[in-house]
Amino acid sequence: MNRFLYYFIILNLIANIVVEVPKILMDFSERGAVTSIALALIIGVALNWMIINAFKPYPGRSLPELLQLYTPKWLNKPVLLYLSANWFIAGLLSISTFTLLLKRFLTPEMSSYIIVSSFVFLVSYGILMKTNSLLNSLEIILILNIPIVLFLIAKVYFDQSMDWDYVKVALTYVNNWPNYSAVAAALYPMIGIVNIVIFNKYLITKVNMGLKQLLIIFLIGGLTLFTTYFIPMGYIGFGLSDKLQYPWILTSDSVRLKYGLIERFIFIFLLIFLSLSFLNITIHWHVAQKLLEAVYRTKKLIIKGKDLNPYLWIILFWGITFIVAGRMTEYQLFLVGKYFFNQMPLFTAVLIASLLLIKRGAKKHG
Amino acid sequence: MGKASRMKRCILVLVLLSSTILSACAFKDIDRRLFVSVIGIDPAEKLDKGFKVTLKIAIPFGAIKQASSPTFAYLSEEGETVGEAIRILETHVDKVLEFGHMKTIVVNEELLKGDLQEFMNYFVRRGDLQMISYVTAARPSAETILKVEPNTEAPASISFFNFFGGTGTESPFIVTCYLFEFRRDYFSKGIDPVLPIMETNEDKSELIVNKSIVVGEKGKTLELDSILTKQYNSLVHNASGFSYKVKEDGLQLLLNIDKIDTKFKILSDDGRPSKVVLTINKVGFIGESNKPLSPKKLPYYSNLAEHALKSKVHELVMKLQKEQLDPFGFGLRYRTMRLHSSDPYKLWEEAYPDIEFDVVMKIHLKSTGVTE
Repeated sequence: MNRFLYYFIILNLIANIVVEVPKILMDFSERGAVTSIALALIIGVALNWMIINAFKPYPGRSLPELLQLYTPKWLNKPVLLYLSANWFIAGLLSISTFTLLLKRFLTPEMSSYIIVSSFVFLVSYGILMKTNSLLNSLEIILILNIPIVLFLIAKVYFDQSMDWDYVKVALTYVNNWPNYSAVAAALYPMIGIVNIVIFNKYLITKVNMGLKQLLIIFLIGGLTLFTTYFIPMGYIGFGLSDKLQYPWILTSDSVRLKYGLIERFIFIFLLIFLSLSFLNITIHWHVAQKLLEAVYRTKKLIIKGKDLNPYLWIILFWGITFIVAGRMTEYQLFLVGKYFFNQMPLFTAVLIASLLLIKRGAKKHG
Repeated sequence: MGKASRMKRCILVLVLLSSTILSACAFKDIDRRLFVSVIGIDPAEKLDKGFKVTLKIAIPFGAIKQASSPTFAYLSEEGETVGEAIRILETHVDKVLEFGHMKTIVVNEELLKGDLQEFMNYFVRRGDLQMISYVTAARPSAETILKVEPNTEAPASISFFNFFGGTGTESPFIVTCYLFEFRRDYFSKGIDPVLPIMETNEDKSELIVNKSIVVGEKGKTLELDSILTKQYNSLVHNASGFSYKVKEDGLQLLLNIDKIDTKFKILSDDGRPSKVVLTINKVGFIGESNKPLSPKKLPYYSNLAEHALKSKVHELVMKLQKEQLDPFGFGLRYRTMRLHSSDPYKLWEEAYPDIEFDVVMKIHLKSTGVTE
């Protein structure tokens, strides 16, 4: 399988360790979180398999192109619009939560608007990059960051104060039925592969998806989901974690780097995960922008041979982000995140249905 | 140079310049900040209900060489809640109180007998307080302890930080409890946290930490004396050190244990917990003796030590059982052994008062030290 596809999957998994997903899962810790995670893992792997296989016959083609070729026009525009809205909201939620996080833990005296603007500014640069360069920078950032992430996670796993008994207590809740919201929340990190809809254009090599690849995705996904949900228990305690806004932030603050340059683990942890979230946001919004471009594009904005269409969307992104990230409270954000995750199954259903339509259309044409 | 590239340069310069605005509103200079290093909490004296908060503040100075001893300032205020007292204290000084470097929370012993929820809340809720700060109990009061400036304290250091976490001194008598651990174990069912007790000598020139206190639910507390503290510490935190004394037939040995491995297992009988088997493995050598020793007789000495230490551990667990306290987390372990739907904790609570303890102590002495 093409290595970039692994990057998408891994990036989305890691970027979602920190914020909303563990919080939602912990809310359900006495109402079926364990089985929900297991179920989400299976569904997630299956989705990966379906999506990759659906794109297999069309190397070098993106979803908008395929939709244009093989499906009726009245259908493809709303579908693309819906999908792009999803990608945009995914990025928006990450930016908003990280703004609140930064304000709380790193720069308490800075105005949220300044934090947001420094975010959007950098991210916009990433959006405007060529898709190909974005892929390469994705690779570089991931390769630089993953060893540090592994070190940080290992530190959390093997710290002396980690009490595994709490993890085991969480496991004793295995005999509850899965819960819809919990499954949706646990599914979200698993479907990083959906970025293929745009990036497939630049993945010319044929992807093959066999049992080995499935197993790798299953293992990485399983381990990451386990870490996301269970490890904070060892520091926060079982049944107390649902009272916390950011379980993982508290967890990372509970680890001490005794001989480290900085004693407080949380600062290194926050910065590394911030950089990965950043990358994830950039990718989300890049995809959102490309999808929107396929929906609406005007020739009026091509000035002196330069296409200014992307700027139009970026201005729109900025506007919404400023309003949302500057005004929303933590709880509102959490609720919106939950609704967003809850409608994730619809998103995957639409995506897969459109892929099936493409397959049917291609048969007719072919 | 083309017009476009000049344009680009202009934009770049503007962007770089604008970064100077960014720092302006977020940063207060270090000379406008006061670094709170220790917080002490006592019951209020003037108010009926509330707390007296004392802050120990490190005063920064230009060069360490100029100072002969560290300089501290102390602020005290009473309030109904901790946050309220600190809010008032902010108006007593001209600088910003900075809590990011606060690393020790000293709580008056008396307060541990009440409801901790009230003041714990403040420490967990605030983002800038470290969860890895140490929590300790104070005797006679937090304020007295805070104001002790030990003779051994070097300039630009605070001895409160060096006691715990193996930063400075390392002794099996000193229990370390981090804030997150305290919170976790205090609110969880089946385990109780243990805090070190800080005391001072008569002329207030020393801080002494060698006792501890088990804090149970609903204000149930139990003080552990030095010997029991050491036993607890060596079992739970695997603290090793020079301090295990064995006395038998006029022979007196002091053991230096460097490796401790503790495991416990809960056995059930008819679906009810009936017995706790504690298996303790210790490896070490003899550090002091009042008689000449023979290396051939090492197994005999090990045996002696096993007997002596076993009875100490037994004393500790029996004492804790009598008071219904459980700092080892036996109850928590029992909760992991069954599915939650069978409500294992209730079973445990019923069974704990008359559960049996079996201590298996294995000591492996490797040497008699440098001399025989």
